Amino acid sequence: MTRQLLRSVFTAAAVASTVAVAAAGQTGWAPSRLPDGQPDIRGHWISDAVGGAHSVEDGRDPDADVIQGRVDEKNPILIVEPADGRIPYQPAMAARRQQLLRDIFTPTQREHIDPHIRALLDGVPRNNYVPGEMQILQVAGAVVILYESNHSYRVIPLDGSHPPAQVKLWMGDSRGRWEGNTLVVDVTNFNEDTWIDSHGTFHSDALHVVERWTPAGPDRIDYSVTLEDPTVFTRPWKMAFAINRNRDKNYEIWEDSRHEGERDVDNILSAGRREKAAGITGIHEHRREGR
Amino acid sequence: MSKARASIVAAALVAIAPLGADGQSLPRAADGKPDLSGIWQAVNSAAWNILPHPAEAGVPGGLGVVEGNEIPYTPAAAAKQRANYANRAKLDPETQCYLPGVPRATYMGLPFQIVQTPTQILMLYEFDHTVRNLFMNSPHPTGSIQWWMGDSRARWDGDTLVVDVVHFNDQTWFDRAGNHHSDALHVIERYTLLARDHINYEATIEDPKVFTRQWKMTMPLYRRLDRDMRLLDYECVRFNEALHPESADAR
Repeated sequence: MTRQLLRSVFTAAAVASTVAVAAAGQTGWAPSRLPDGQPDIRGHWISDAVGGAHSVEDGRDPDADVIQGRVDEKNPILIVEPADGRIPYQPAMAARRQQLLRDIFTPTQREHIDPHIRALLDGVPRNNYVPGEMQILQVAGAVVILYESNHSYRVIPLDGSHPPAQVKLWMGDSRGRWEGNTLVVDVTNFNEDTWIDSHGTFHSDALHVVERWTPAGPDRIDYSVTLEDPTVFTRPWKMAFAINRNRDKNYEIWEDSRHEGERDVDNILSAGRREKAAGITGIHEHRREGR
Repeated sequence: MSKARASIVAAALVAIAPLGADGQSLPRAADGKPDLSGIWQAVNSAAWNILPHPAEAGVPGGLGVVEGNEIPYTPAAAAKQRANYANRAKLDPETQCYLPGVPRATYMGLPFQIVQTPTQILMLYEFDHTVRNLFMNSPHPTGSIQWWMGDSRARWDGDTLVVDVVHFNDQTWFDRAGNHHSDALHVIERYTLLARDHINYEATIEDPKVFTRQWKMTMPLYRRLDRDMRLLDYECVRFNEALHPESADAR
């Protein structure tokens, strides 16, 4: 089967499964409506999937969990398609990713260090599963998401079209529409500088993200996201997780300035360079049991 | 509709939608407050110097935005401003990509977006994806808090949005000319919609550690009417990395 045909088969499958999710959302829970007709998903929310910020394939590093006393915490695998839970990198891209995992072990250039650690924006969808809550506001014609982590924000207009392809943005350009009670957000215009997790899961500026935010009850949103990047992946792939209401009463997002003159990156680099000079090399690797 | 009834309706409309300074009716939110939603920008040279200044290479001249054209520094604070100015290329927090503080974020030469709800107003800035969360009619948190952008609590005074901002750190400047403050800074902003596309912006500045009296900046903000206008990003931190690619070796 040609790659093109494969892609259309998988796209069809993705469409079929998302239609099923949307239908379930409509019958399962009907949120109240705002004056402009939007389903009301306002409020403070926390994703159930922060381990994915470390690796969307394997979750948090079990060794680090022991050190940090997080062994019993939730650590779900985010990838739901393809079934093997691995990112469908094209062969040359898989090799580049392996090299990045070696570079992460002994970083000698800034590009070997997770952009999240470098205080750069996380991009979409990563901002939805890095630690920290998010607040959703809705105004006429737009959904606005305020993220606690790195004081980032997204304004998602419910109309208009993406800017010209030459415009590259760390968070991409988001355009939303309501399909029943599901907010579908189409995101393009990415740069190629963000990682999808700290395992060097890179993408190109051809990345196309489609998010589906389906309220599944008063306090839960079922979130799924399809990532498509024909220059890097062999086919679209998909992640899904729950986003739960933050039950902390009167919660306010306060300043996470993130970049305050700290020297973490310089320290990480000088350590990496010393280790490399001393002949120390390796690879950052840990696999979830049974994979 | 009878003539009498039409005029009653017209009178009612006028009553709920008073005219702006130029005679246009002001856009209003569902709760009747002036609707400040949109993308705005200051068009002046306050980013370089909030006081009157002549042009230099790469720096447009400016009439200044400070009432009375003078900042009432204490002698020690005035000396610090002069030292800041002399070393501005190295000391200006903007060159480090720190969050710009208030009111500096307003006039960085980049647009910002206001998202308005009855209980909370967001100010989203293009520079460094800076955010301000303005909570309506609620008190500042107590305790020793120092934030780059301070803590903003807002209320409507008639048709003017009044924002009280405290809990600053002492790291931000007012401009690229080294005008500065301490962590005792208290800013009171007033946003008054003059017409659909113009806001009058005022910032009253108090800081007993640095100034001998309170003083005020005033400037218009203009709605960005560009086709398909949206905020883009100015990720200063990444640009700084590119400027200092080998900083790890230097230390």
